[in-house]
Amino acid sequence: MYRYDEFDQDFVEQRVEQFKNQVERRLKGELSEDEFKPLRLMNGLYLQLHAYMLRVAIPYGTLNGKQMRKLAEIARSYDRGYAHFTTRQNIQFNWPKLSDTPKILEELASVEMHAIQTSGNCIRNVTADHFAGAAEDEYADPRVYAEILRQWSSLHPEFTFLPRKFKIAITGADHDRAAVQVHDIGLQLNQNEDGERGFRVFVGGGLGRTPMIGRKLREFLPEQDLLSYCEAILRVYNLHGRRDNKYKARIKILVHESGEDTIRNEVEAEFLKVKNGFLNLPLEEIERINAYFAPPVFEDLPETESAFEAAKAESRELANFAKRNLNPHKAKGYTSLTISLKPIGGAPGDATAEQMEVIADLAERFAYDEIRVSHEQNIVFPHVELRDVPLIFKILAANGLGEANAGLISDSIACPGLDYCALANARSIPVAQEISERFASLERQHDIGDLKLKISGCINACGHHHVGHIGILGVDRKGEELYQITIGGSADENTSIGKILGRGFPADKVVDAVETLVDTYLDIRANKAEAFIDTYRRVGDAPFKEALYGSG
Amino acid sequence: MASTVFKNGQVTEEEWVTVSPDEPLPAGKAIVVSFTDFLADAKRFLESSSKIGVALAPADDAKELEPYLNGLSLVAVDFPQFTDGRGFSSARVLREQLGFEGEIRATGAFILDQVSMLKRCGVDSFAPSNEVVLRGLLEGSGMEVTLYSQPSISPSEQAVKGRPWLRRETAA
Repeated sequence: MYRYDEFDQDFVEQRVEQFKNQVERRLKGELSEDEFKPLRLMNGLYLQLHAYMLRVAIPYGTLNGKQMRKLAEIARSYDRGYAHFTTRQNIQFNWPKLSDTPKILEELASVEMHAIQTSGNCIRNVTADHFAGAAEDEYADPRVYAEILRQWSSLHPEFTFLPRKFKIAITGADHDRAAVQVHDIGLQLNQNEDGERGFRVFVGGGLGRTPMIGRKLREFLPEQDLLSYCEAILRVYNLHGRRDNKYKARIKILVHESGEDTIRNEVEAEFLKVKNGFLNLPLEEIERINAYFAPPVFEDLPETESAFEAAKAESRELANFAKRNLNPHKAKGYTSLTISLKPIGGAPGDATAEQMEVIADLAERFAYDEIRVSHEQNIVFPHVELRDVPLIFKILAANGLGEANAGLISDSIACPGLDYCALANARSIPVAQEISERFASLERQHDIGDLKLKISGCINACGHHHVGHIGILGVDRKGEELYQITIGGSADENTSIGKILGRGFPADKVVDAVETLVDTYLDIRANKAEAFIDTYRRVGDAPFKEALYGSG
Repeated sequence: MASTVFKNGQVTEEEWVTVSPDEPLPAGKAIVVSFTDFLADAKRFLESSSKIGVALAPADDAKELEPYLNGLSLVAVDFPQFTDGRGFSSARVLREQLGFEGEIRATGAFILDQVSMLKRCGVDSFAPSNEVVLRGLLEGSGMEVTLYSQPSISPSEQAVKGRPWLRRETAA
């Protein structure tokens, strides 16, 4: 993974020093909350419903055991003993004291971490495929480019006061695991006919109140042009994005209102001026950064591991875990292992300090000290030997981390909702908890198969409900929490926005409604191999609508 | 208008005359004119013996000044609110794409924490509307950060060995 050199370390320490002064000025009353706001936001500090919330950056979701242990220590010393992993592959502490935040940032800096650009109208933490560097289907490790983008965008002199926040995601394979088409800029690594590496570039995707799928501006952008092209996009957006209404200020609205061709022409014209300037990516620099992400030296292992096969035959729990929580690895005898942070009845994405320490220990012992946070709010060990899986699973299960539900209905995404968030209209976590309890039977979940359930507590859509196979949106109707259900959304290479099926359901009926949809699918699927989303795409929403609302 | 300007490390008072389009132009002064008024009759302003500055509002397209830049002493990039970051792009376009060599001044409601960013976008003088910002500029506060992770055209930065995009502030 990327390692700080002296420069990176000094860079972060200067920021901590700067923020320490700002907090002191705030505590002394020299800065008003209004004046302090943009400064604290630049350091990831939000004022929430009950307290400050500190969001710490985990660039493209990659961290090591030492860093995870530090996060656990912070959760224990400065918070309430747990933390929340987010859909931007970051981590949030929900109860820090303002006066403690400079100390927390110092602690983070000691393990090469920070909270820069996790909020505010700037280029946010760049996200990437959580199986990067391990997946057998990738063209190249997308984290190399994510790191280049991270450095370029950190405290960017021109793009720190944009019309609105700006999110970039990058994925390494044709199969998109980073939801790139619902980002402000989505990058998908590919190759041209001459075998040269580059990117498919999408612009103007996003969720929120106005969900939009990104428009493809380029089928192939050569890799050396990555920063120049991004700069061109950002400049067009900074100058022309709407600033009159914060709900219409994302680049997706500019793209929508101007039209895809106009935006493409403007970006390409700007790109011609920027191209071959100081942002041209030198090959040596790509290689230098690539070296940081060199995979571990893999042993020459057999394709199947007999001890592992035998253990699976003996333990149904292990077999279930292996079926759902392992992803094919590029090296024989290895796998990428998903640790679900979605225990039945738990809050999606939460982990206790103790669990974080268990994860750190396991990563160091069995996973080449590499940990990923996925945008689906789980933890991934990208490189694990198949023969170690039984022991890892045993330790995970003993610590409440062994849920064999990756990609299943109980592996839902949910925003913090009304329990924490100042923007929310409705609770999300309790709904996720109730649904996972309703579908607690693993046998039933495995029978249902791949199903992405996503829950947002308001139209800002932090729970990504628009791209859930089943999406749930909490709204407030005259003081009552009501839940709208959408169906057919998807955030992979076939991105689609879910359709609202009809009127919303009160809190005590929404779980029944989800169950009705699932039962309808089970009744009409062509066979067991046809996933929920495929059945929906085959038959449309009519049978689902009828099941929920009758044929009237 | 008298402007209190922070430039080259010190505060100076500058006399800029604001004129409306139908007035005769004073000779031998420094005149600042709005972008719209200037473009409506650029030739007249450029023929004057006064120094000419153009005040650029956030929505004004700096590229339209391209044919006239040789005749301008100053472009004042205005920040009616610090959260409106269009001026950062305008300044870079003027310096880097249009090759403007005159003074680029930030005016208005920008905050202290934006000063180093403005410099990196090509701004070289500051006329803040808030006195606290002016005081901060004089005291050199808010300047803890001297390391940057992307290149800029600021003349007071040095590249970092072995890292093509990193810059270290040398003037601070």
